[in-house]
Amino acid sequence: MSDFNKDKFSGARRVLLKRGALVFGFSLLPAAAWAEFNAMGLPKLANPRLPGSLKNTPLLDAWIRVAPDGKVTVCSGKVELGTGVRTALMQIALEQLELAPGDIRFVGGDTGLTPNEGFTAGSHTIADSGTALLHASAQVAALLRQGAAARWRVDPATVTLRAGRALGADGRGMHYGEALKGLTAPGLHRAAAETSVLRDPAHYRLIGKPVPRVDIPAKVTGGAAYVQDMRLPGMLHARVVRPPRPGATLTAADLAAVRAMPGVHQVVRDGSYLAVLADDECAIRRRPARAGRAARYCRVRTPSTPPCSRCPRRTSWCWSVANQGRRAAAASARAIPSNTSCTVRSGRPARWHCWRRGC
Amino acid sequence: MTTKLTINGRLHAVQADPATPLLYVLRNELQLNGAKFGCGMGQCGACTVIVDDKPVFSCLAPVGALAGRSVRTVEALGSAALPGKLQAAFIKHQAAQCGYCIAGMIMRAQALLERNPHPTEAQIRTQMEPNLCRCGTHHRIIAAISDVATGAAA
Repeated sequence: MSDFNKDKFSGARRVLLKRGALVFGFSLLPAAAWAEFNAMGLPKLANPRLPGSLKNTPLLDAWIRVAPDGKVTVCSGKVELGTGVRTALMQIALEQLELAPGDIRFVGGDTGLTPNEGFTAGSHTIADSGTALLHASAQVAALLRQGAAARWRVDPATVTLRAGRALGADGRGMHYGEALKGLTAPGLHRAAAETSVLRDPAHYRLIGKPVPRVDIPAKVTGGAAYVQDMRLPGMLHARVVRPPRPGATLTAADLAAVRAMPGVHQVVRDGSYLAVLADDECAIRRRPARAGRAARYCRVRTPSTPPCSRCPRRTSWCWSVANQGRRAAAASARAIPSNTSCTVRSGRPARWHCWRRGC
Repeated sequence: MTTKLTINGRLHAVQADPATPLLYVLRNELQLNGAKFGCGMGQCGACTVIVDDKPVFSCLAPVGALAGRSVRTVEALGSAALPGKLQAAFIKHQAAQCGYCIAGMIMRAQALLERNPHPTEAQIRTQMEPNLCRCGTHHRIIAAISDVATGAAA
């Protein structure tokens, strides 16, 4: 089966998946919205003969942008989850663009800036996004050579790229932003070609070579590296109150009392689904959801204070602490009213003392 | 109520309820990203910081119990531009996959190295036992700590 036929097959399968998902997930969306996406949340297939995610997002400037000052931005719809793909995708693009790590701005998975590549999952990042970037960056490199050649009125074959500059055979040079000006109207805002002229792998500088991961320095020094490190103005925190066991039904919950707690914005109840919205992450952890008897739950109460296991003081106590370990639950039995039961998870016993100096 | 404690060498007057776990004060009030919320139950170690000279699960330590004490987070050891010795060893060994556990790992290892600058590998393994890494980076983590312990990272 030729590649083209395989792609046609995969296209048909995507249509099938799309119809399946219409039934399950998003049937409230208007049909017009559906036309844009398949079941994986991807834009529809634009050209099945293009490599990787270029199939869905064929415009070159969706992937590679060159600013008038020559600065290059590389975009991918995939995000760094700790597998090193940010570094790997940069290696792929930098190889073809003749740039070094640090020369580019890389944007991964920004819904306003990058192609929509659906989920980052299933080992698809290099296969889909990496392939798209390989070809997009190779084609952009070819266009930059063409642009520089047009400005110098020379044969594009005589122009080479090196370290962010287009170089003529006679030693002339210009940065990528200037080379871009030599291109005709759409610039990089054009659909990718089905074939690309790629660098000879024998001359690779970055692909297949060990490159330190770009995300590690921030991760070992407390830099902003995770979604949890984003702090937005007016940000609220939500917490879902889980039932004590699968299939449990929420029979009663004192929602008014929880709403009255300081910092709580909203309590959402929808059948057995219960969630609390508060302006403080800790406050929301301390809105305790007590498991009721048997499968029925839940009572939502303020935390009680168990005694310290080492001294006569009572501990400062967070609800989450009470839910650790069977031994801890047993130890706290005296402190917990008998008409409630704890969600008991297996694990190490809690550090159940009052944290004062010397205790 | 205000609790005064030293965090990364600076005296802070923390406004949070004394029962608030230190982790939330660090992350939300002081906007320090180093200590991570992992399990919230002292079972994973992602939130580990050093209080005085001991590694502590900051998700369990109520801030009110820490008045007058000195807290250090991974930010105290260095920055991305100028990493500390242990951080540099972690970078050299690429000792992170998702990296979520690493700040806690580094602080627990730092506490050991301050108490015993040349621990054996067995001592390192014993010290690091409470901290979990789900990605499986343990061998690199131990290699990075061993580098500092043997002076190879200097």
